[in-house]
Amino acid sequence: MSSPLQPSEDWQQDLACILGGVPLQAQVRPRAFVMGSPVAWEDAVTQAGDLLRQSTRPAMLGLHTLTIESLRVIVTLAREHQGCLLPRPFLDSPLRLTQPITLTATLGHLLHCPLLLGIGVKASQLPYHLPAKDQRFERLPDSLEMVLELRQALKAGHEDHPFIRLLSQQPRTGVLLGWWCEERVASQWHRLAADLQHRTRMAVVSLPDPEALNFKGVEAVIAWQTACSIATGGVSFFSGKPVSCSPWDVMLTQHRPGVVVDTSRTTTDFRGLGLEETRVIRIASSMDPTAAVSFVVPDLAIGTRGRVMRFDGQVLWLCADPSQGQPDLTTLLLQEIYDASRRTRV
Amino acid sequence: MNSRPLLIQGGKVIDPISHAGIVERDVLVHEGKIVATLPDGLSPEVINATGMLVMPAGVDMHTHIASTGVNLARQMQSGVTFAGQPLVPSTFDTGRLYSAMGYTTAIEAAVSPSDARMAHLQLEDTPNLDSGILTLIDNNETLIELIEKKDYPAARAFVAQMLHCTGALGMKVVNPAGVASWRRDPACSQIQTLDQLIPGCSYVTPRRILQTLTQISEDLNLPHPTHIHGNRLGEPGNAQILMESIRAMEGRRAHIAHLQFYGYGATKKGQYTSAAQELCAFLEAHPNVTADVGMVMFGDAFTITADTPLEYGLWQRTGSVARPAVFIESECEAGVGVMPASYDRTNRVHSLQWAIGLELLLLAKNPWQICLSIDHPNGGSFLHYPTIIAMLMNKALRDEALAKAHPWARKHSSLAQIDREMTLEEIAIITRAAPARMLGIDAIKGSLMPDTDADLTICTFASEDSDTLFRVPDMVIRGGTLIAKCGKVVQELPGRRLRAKITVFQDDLKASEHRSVSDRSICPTQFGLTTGEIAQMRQITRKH
Repeated sequence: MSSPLQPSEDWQQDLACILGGVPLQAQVRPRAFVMGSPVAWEDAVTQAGDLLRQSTRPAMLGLHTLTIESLRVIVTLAREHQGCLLPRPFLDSPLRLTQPITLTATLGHLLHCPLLLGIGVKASQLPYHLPAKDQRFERLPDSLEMVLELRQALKAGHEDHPFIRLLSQQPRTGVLLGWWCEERVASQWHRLAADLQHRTRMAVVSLPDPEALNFKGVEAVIAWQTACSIATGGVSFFSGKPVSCSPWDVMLTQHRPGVVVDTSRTTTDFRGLGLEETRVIRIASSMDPTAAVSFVVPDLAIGTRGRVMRFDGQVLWLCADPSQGQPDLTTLLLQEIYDASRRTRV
Repeated sequence: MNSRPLLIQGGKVIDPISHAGIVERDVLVHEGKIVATLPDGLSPEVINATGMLVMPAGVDMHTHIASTGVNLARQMQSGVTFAGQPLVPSTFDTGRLYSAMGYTTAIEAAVSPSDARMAHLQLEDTPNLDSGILTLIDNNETLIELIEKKDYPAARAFVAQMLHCTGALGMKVVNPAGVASWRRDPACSQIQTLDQLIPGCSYVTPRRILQTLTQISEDLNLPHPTHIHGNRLGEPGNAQILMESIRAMEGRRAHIAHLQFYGYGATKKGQYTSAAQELCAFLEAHPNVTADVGMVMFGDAFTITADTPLEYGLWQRTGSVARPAVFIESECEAGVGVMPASYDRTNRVHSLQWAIGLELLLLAKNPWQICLSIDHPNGGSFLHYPTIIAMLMNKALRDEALAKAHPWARKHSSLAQIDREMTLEEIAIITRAAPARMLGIDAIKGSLMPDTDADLTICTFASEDSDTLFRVPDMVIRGGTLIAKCGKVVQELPGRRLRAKITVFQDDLKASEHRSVSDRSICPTQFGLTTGEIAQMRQITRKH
């Protein structure tokens, strides 16, 4: 077995942009496997390219583990093979579509709010630097009933309501929602922020799921390359043009893919989804013995060189020294697979 | 780049920068540039352009095609289309559509510093367009603190550093002091006067921000002057505060973005009227200032602006129940509001806005001072340009459209009384030469003079159909290569990004570096472009 893409020391970098919540993991040595057996890197790339070339409507899953550079390649891969992109969360809440407004802010904004409300969030679950010493932190339950009651009290003009009195005294208030909060709760807090904007500048921010990694980057790259939202779950190129689609449409109806490129950290149970025939090309930090082809590469949590989106959609460097940018290993691998999928077998 | 030289033979050449009028002559292209002669021994490929018009390719100096706001609009626009395309197309389609229409340069007019990397990545995915970004700077809390301390050298160094590390072609000012005031005080939704202090400041006002930034622009020798979206955009009577802002600049260069949105007078009851005549006369007396018009066209649009208080107020007034909207405030440096919109010809304000846009272009005596823009997608899709051009060249078309608009537009604007029909040369000025000159890139764009980029359009002229002429040029050439033919893209080439050569004042850097790096969770070392990336971009130096 040989690897043409040698890892370097540069892989171990700071990950400050993930709110400091992702621990560094041990360096991963790139390896390739076919049906669980180790093979040469080039052979695995060829095999993956063949699978994609022969497939119809391949699906790209996961994606949130990838850097912006890798995402740009994988969108190209889906477009060229008239496949689809189904980023995590795999089966998303349809309630995302009904959220009418998002008033949000960044960590920097929250740092300057004198009052922080943690919705179902304990102080120990807050990101670094929060709360600051001059900030007051209050924990509130993550219940829909409670936020609805607050909205009702506000609407009815109950100025003596303790919560409304508290907020009226604050020029700025930060609201931190746990990533586990139900979409309806988040939506109501955003609505409450909109109702309150002339009393206090309220910034509602959902804390990122440590496992979400570069999900914001996924949203952004797919949006600019396709002009489509992934709010419904994904984007397909089945007709040649990109359109928003749902995972159900793709996985469980007439469009079921024969091949998936899966970059998720955890293995998806395709048999559980009734997709026994699906062949998997897996690109992750651990080997998948059930995959047709499995590439072991470092993912974002391991500190690949590259860039990720900050949780509010901004791009940040993963490496400490931005003067030394270069594509990460996964980007190079995806580019090789893309090239192999376009080659005619000799 | 086409390796073989091109000879475009026998065309009627319109090149306003050369001041030659419309002349029948050949155009030679070699190694991506217009040349006067070819090296000996080279035989060019000949394009027979006899009877056709040959012009520089279009330059859109104020558009929104790459930023967080644009990307949010892409995600929010479900089903909103124009001419069969999503109103806010993907980056790839943006490049294709612009170039098929004969435009090869476009400037993204508002990017917050921490957004710059993403904007550049988006522009990298936009084929056939050379592009650049204007970096939002005026409501940045660090800058405000430096102005408050009256530390001009540090403010200048900070701006220089931000423009350099974001790879900007110029700086963008949006509602100076207005966004910062709104950020600091929820009750402060709008600036009332140029001398209104930002809450918590004892020195910083809109006037002082404008004076500081226009002076910094001069000191840094930026090719494009400070690009200003002023205070009170969209409000009745706002022409007055715009004129006061221009006076405040005391003769320094500036560019006013989407002038139409400041073209409003007010009736005694505070209703909208046109102030186009007054504004045009005022600009004529202030040659230090240029403007792009910011047309609005009837139909769907998407408002994307860093003027978050404006957008928030608009959302509250125009449908906060039914309309989705997003407001983002980034690290106290800039923000963005995004919301779908629609301009309705039965609405009197919308109709008046449409009329004022045309008035401004038609009343301007100097076509080099006010150029065409639609502030895509704020005023509608950039695909409206050919229709706007057709109306500028044809009074009958304008009158027909005015008759269908709300009567308020006829009553409160002078559009019906304007007989002027723009000539082809004037159209070439407002769509090509003038925006290139305003951006400070006329040494390479918007012209067919030797050494400029060989970006040009070739089209068959039928005087009765100027819409088709500018919508579907016969050929579009970029960097010497044919990229579109009869409205179809035949080749996709990567665009180059244009950035200003920034003079960094080394001696002044210490203070600004300390502030920007230590006190923020973002800083240039996190979001800045790499030295290699900066070097790959095309550097623009101010022409004197």
